[in-house]
Amino acid sequence: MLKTLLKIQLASLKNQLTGGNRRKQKPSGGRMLGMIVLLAYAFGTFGFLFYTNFSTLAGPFHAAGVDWLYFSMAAIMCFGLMFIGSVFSAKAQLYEARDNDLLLSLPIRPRDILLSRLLLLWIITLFFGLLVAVPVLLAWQTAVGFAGAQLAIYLLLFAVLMPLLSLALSAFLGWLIHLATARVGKKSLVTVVLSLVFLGAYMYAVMQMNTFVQQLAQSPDGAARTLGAVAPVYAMGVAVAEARFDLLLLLAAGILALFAVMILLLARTFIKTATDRRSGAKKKYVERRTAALSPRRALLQREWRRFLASPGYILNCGLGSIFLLIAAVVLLIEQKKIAPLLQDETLGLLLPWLFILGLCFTAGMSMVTAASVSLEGKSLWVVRSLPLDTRDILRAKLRLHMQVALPPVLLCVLSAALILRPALPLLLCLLLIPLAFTVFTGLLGLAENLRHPTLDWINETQAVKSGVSILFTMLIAWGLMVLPVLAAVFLSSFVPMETIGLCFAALLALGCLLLYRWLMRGGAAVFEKL
Amino acid sequence: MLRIEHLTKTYGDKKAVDDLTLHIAPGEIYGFIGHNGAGKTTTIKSCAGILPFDAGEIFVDGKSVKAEPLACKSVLAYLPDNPDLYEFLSGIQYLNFIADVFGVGQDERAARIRRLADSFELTGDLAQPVSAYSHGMKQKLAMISGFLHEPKLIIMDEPFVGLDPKASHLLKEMMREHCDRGGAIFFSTHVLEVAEKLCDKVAIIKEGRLITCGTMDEVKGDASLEDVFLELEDDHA
Repeated sequence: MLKTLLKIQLASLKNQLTGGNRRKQKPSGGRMLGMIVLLAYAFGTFGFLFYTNFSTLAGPFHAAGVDWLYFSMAAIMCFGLMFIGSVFSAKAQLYEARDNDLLLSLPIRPRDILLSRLLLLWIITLFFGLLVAVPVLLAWQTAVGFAGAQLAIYLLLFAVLMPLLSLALSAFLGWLIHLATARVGKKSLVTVVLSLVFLGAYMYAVMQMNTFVQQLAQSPDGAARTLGAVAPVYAMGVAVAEARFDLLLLLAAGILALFAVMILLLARTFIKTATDRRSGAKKKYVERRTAALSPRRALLQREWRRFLASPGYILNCGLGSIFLLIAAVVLLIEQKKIAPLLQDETLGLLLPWLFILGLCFTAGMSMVTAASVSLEGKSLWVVRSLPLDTRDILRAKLRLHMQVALPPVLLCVLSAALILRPALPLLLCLLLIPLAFTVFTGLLGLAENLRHPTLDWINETQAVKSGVSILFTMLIAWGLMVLPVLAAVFLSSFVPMETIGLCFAALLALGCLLLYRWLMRGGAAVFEKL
Repeated sequence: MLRIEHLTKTYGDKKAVDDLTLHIAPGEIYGFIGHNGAGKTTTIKSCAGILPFDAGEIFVDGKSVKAEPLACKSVLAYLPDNPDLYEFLSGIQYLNFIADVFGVGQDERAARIRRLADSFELTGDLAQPVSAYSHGMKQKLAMISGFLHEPKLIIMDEPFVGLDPKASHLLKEMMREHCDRGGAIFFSTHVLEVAEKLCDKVAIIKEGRLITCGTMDEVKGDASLEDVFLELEDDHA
């Protein structure tokens, strides 16, 4: 039975990754290849980031005789990314799947349902883990080199045991979050706040890593003691650095025991947790006079309500806006610290462009439209059967994106303009590039979601987290940012940077125009055939 | 009110509906009967403008579903067999959304929602999110939304499945009243007793092709609809 359930879970994952739906049962070879290329691109981008960081640590740590510290820090980074990447998927996949009732009604042991869902989570966890583990491995191999059984222990620890540990803890925490949110009215708000707290904690830990490295340079023993105090982390570092199989076995025993306890606990409570429908006190209906809206405004209101009701949607497709709002405030608070940097001849010239780049990069994380078609799911019949112009349905999705993504971008631009006090051409670049980029991302997201909709999702997370359109939109949008960077590298000696910037804004505007035209014609036709 | 002319719809090599012609006049409750997979839902979805079809034409209130889909949809209500409504809205928010789309004014909608929700005994649950509704409650909400804008034509796919006896009885009354006011109803069902008592006309479909249609007397004569249905099914096997 477990084998059958595993097959279903894997088929579901494949379906999400290849954008398959009811009408397109078999993904084409080209689509599969495109997916592989894009995954490789994602892996390469993040991998490069971690490789760069860890390759600067490997040599000095080895020279200082603290090899274990290198692997301990890698373990913390790896575990953090795996945990953050899977904790909210765990909640949705395990307890909020639409087929829970169906599966529980069949003669299947709850433990098997749980294990099959955990396998899918393990794959997601492993993906996040490998983003760190592979570059860490390459950085060490290049700078120092693995000796003896080090590599085998490293692989066993980072590719097998750590994902299990992360999975055990994220499933447990997912269970706790589900229990906590099942009893409150504002589930969406509580989940978003909890997620942001976790994310904030992770980012704080990442930032502390730099401080830790500085502390290490000044007082190696003190810093090592700090990290060494966390026994499992120390043990992981030592197990790899000294090729200690005894420590590996000890860690394996501990992690497997933890995993087994978690499985037993969750399996025992699975039926109750998965079927718990309580959501606080029943709201009493009081008849109120409601203002009548035009169909277009009603569609926009529908999109807003869908967005605000779904923490997964907010966190996966609106995170950039949350970051930008925070950034706008931080910029204003920290402007006295930033202002002196502008006096530096090189940095003063570079900073506005780095800011534009960073702003676009963050704005690219807001892609509300990229899941908006998929989220229609099985309710698609509602809008299809109503007297609504398909173009109005698509426009409402675009408007939501603009209303979620543009105000934070404008606030950030305003904050930056107050600090940078740029001349008119630079001000235009500062304003137009992020705005055009944000509009472009919204249009691209909608087009991509029309091309790769996932309507048969079992839980909403599949539509907003694992959808191909999300990945495509983010990678294409971020990939576009390479263009002005390349142009700056090769042309800035001949052409002013402001001209390059404005040309890029114009290019984005042209892209917006072409995408909008396609959406209103071809895109509308695609929507009508879904 | 609804004219289906030589409708053909294929999925790959399989003809789901094959050259189907049916006419539903104002005032008629028209039952649509067939075994599972006979092509009922495909026909119904095509009539509601949800599913594109390969050949033939469908006219709603004299307008072509292909050429004027919005005009057709503005005078009809479609209720599917499985009411997957917006779970992120409350019942009242869903009804207001439907009323907004059909341009039902403030006062009219308030009165209609009050009347319909009271009839279906759903008033107390209207503030609850649809995600908290049972299957039957979702079906009742879908019914209310269907009648809310007073459509000329109501197209329903298995409307009685999942409804409790009281709601089922109420729906039958409402269907009759709707048709007495000049509206028309086209619905599929497997409950032959209901079709026999409720419908003015009936059509039987098998493997996408129309086997027979007409008034209830023309189709069944002195026999029961169940006997006729089973006999016709065997004849066309």
